Amino acid sequence: MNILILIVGLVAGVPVLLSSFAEIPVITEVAQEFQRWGIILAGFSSFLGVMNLTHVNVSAVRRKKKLASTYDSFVLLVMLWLLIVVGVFFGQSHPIYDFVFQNALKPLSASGFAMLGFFIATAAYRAFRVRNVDAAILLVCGCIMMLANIPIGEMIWGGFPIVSEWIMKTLNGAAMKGIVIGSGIGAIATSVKVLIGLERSHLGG
Amino acid sequence: MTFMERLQSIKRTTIYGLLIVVLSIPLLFPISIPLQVSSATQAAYDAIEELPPGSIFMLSTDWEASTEAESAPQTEAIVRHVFRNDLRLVIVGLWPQGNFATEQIVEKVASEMNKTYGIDWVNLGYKPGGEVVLASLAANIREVYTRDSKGTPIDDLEICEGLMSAKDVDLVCSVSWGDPGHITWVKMVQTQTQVPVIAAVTAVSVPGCAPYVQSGQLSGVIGGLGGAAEYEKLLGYAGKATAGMGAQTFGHIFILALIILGNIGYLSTRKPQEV
Amino acid sequence: MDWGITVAALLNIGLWSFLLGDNLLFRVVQSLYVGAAVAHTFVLAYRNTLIPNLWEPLLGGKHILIIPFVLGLMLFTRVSRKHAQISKIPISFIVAVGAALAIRGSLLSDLTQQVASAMVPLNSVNNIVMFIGIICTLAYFTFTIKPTPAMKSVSTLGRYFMMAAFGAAFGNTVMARMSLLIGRLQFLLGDWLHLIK
Repeated sequence: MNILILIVGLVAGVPVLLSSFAEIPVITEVAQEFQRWGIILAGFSSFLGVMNLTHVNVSAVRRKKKLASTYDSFVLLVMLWLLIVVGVFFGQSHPIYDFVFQNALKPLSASGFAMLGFFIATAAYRAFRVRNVDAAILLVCGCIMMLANIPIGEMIWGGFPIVSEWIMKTLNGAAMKGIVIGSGIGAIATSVKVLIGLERSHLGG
Repeated sequence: MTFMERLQSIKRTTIYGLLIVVLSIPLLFPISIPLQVSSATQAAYDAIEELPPGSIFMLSTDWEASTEAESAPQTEAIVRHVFRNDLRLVIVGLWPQGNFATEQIVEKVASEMNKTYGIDWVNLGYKPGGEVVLASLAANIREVYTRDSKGTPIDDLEICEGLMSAKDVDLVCSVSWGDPGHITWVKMVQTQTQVPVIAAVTAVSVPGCAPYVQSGQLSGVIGGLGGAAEYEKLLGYAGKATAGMGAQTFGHIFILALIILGNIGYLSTRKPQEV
Repeated sequence: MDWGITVAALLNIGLWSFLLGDNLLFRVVQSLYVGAAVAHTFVLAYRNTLIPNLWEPLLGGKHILIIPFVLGLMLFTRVSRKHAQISKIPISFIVAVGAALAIRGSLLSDLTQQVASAMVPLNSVNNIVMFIGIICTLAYFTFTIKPTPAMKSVSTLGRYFMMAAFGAAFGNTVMARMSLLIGRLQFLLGDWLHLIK
């Protein structure tokens, strides 16, 4: 089985890799077909998410036996399957689907992320301390960026936008370029290891 | 407890409450804040402005509703610009919620600006797979998108005439919140086809764009709510982004005050290090 | 009264109740969100991908699509303890295609183009600083060479450049988070309570 898995990986990956560097019609056609299959398989993987979520929450409801102590799992299952049934059979323009998307999914998504605003305020107060040179550089650059990002920063000192642009383009640009080059090398090394079967963490072993 | 020690022990719920008050005041009592347009936003604006009417503009909705506060104003501003200049708007997406939300934004703007679906704009929809989708799209769009989001075959759409691959697109704009997003477009499409790409990103992603702007792989960047407000200024209207800049100003000042307060308390109560 | 906006506002407040501590209301609202988000992704994947990209061409005569269909079905064996090994085949396929594309993207974009653009002419202070910064940052990540005192200094300078970059990232993160919170307050105060003109 392990050899079969390795062979499937090689057969799938090698044409896609070769098509990047050589214009051979057969290889290019095979690579493009494999990429289209990748999109289909990505679509199938969302089914897995639904199955897993249903299995875990049905088990939770069964284990607790009393509905009162499993409100959250029950609500999740009702919302999940209601939206799936409406969406699959009636489409996204159905009033129920549209209502849930506009008034539950979208606002909750936004509200969840908006909570980070509160957490960054408490983090700014409790965690951002000038403990050493590194932290001092980080905080000074951060504060300059914060002042330059608001129009009032220029009113306080006309140099803030100029200094912040210099930090962004020169200091940040240099460091990020080094990080991008380094991570690019790392990505290539890891991907080669995946293709030849040395890296198998994605397979659970 | 000394004053300095008290300075370090303000309750978090107090901070939360103060933050809500500080941000609400400029929303309830709007203040006019002068805006300067950054070079990155200007470059993105110029990239769209230079396109002749009828050019194909591909908008990739690479965001989720989590970043609606930044991505939605950016999307609306870009779409207004595209429609104003009579470009053909083709929408694709790598994330599900953003594509759905974008269609609603575009429908609103299209009805204001008398633009017709299928002729002036189309939503080809969301496809899962990230870089695999873009690699396929770079070679042949019609193998990836056989229908639009409403189910109409792509061959029947007037706006998609001549659109066979990413090479036929005149400019790509990725409204992005992370990965897959604008960097994926650069790696999978721009590098392969030389199609220019601009990015409208959340403020968090702006520093990460710097190397790609420097190398020319990104032709312009609209960064966060501030970038959206600058874009609105370039277009000559004041939308939700501009309305939020007052609160943004107050919020930044509040965070700076917290940092200073926390550090004053820390530095004054820190025990001297033993030699 | 727009019931939709009221529902959205109450759900927003329910989620934010977590700021006062974990509670049942927050857990229920969170579950609502998770259920809706997963369902939405599934519906779009089904309608936008599986039907137009698999089902229609398969029924239209493109029989080779039987292979990805079977591979997709193999994914479901993941839930069975006895047959979970079979699901590794389609996973290996997806990951291998992704890895090959990652090599293409990293080699042509991150290595070639980024290294080429790093070769800036050393004719200005900014370019010299940038070049030094790139070299020092790369030196910081070189762990396979025994660090000499000179190497340690270069590596430390690289760390300082990165601290400046992280500071820039922090400043922008504050802007981003504040924007998200402002967006929600605009909704609550404006669209719901009509307090914003």
